[in-house]
Amino acid sequence: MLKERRGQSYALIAMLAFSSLSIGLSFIKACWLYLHRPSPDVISAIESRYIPLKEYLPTIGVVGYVSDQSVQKGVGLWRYYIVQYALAPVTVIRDSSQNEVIGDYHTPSAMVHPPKIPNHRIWRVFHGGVVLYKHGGDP
Amino acid sequence: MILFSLVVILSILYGYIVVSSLLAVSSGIPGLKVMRWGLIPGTGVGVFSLLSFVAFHLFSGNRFLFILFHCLVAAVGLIAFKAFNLRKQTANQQYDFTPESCPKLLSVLAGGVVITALAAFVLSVLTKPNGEWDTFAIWNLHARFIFLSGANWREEIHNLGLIGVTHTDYPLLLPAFIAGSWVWMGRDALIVPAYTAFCFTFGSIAVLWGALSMMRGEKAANVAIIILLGARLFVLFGGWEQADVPLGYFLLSSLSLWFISSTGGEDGVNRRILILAALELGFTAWTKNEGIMDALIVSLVFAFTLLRTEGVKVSRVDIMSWIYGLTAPIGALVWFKLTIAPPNDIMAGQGWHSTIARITDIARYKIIMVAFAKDIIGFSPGPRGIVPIMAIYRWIAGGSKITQGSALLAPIALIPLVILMGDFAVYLITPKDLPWQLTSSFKRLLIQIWPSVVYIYCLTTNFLEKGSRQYASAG
Repeated sequence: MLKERRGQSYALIAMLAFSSLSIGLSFIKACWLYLHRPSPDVISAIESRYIPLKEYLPTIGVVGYVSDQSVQKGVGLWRYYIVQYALAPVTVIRDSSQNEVIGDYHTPSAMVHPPKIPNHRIWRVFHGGVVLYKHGGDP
Repeated sequence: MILFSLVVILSILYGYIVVSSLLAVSSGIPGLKVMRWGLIPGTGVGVFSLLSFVAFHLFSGNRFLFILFHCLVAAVGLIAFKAFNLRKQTANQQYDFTPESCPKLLSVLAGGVVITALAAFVLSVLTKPNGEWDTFAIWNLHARFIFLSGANWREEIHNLGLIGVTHTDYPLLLPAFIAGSWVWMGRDALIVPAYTAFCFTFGSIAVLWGALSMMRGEKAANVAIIILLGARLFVLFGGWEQADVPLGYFLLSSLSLWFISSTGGEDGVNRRILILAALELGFTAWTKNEGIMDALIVSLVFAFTLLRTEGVKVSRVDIMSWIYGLTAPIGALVWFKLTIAPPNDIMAGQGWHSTIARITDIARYKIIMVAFAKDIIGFSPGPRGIVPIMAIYRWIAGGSKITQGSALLAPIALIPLVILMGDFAVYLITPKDLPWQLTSSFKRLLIQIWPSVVYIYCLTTNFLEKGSRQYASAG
């Protein structure tokens, strides 16, 4: 009986030690991530690039979005959602047929010479590869 | 900061009125107090969210009326609470315990684990103030749409459905609370989602500790919170402000309250506790679509258990209490689904032939079973697999007999399994890429049931106690 109880005690101690170690590792990971965090955080940094764009967009409604990255998956999709988050409550859809279309470019050539979009003209070019297209020909 | 403090005070006031009226039990048991204070902030967030949802419908775009509505509701609630003396009405119920001592070292370890978790939580919030993917792409995004669209918020939320996987059909517990708080504050401050994350992450710990401390004593309660936090994803997901932690909190609260209501005492008091259990369950449905399935499963198990053990006559009154509790959150959910939400993407992708084809595809069963086994056994990455260790301990130590309420143990223990079976069925019929859906969501589903699994495990497992506790009424 005593031997059995001792076995249970060891098993309980092992389970508690395992769990405590696990939360300790969570803390170490959280510390590491905190110490190596970008400042400002990535989302705030991307958001800040879109602040100047806001005054040229409608306050609500739908605008288009194009990018030189794939916006269906991976980093491109992630960035697209941050742009949507930054520009709320305007709905940003992955489409170039809207009246206003946002271009989000990352390759150096596209940042210097933004590509053209059919039936749209480049209306404004912002810092960091952000471009605003407007439906219609040259002004 | 003053306005944020007002929001916190108001939501805690809502939670206090509701929890103190329905869990109207006075006793000297520390577990009950801890559980009550674990329930108050989270329940307050739920009530604030429901009221904000109503206020957005009535006064969206008018900040003054929005705030006035909240103030009036709070004042009426407070007056009713005082006038009807709701708390004292049922304060005569006592629970007779003979406290069993808990080894000091275990208490110190549990305290240390909670402090470490708190530090990890704070660092996670500071590292990612906008949260992880779901936080900015779903919850805070929806909250921004509601807050910034003014009177057009319904149309704009509907428009947002055009962009794809932002799940605008998800219920609004978090977005409505966050947007409502922002209306009070006049700006979209990130401290609000961080506050909700804190309420639910540490509220789960308090509810778990309190509920187990009442039923099994402090030793089991301390073991439970160490195991809960041993799943590293729990604190990380909490700190990243994911909605799975609130859902897990509400499910745990509901199951533990249901269990407490069945363990003796005065019928009237227990029926109020049942109303609170059902309210918390309704909040799971108001948090996330997965919560709708959870609410349905728990309600069916509840009704079936009651009819089997108590017969139709007695059951009817308890089932009515359950329905009262569900009414407000389910009413808001139905209203939201019928008037605002676009069709659910999984349901919209169903067709007679395609669904049959998916159900009869044996390869899909294999993919899902492998993913389930891998994630359940390897739950909590890092030192992998707290679940197998729990199973081994249970095998060595055996179960613990609970003197009362034992008729409920089997049905309650069955609930996480039935929820997993429901998840399995959803994966089976999903029109989306199955491996992608499993990878991106199954761990989150496990987080939703994790606090309840730990509760049930610690309720039924022997932790070298001398004996189990009696639960009785002096009312």
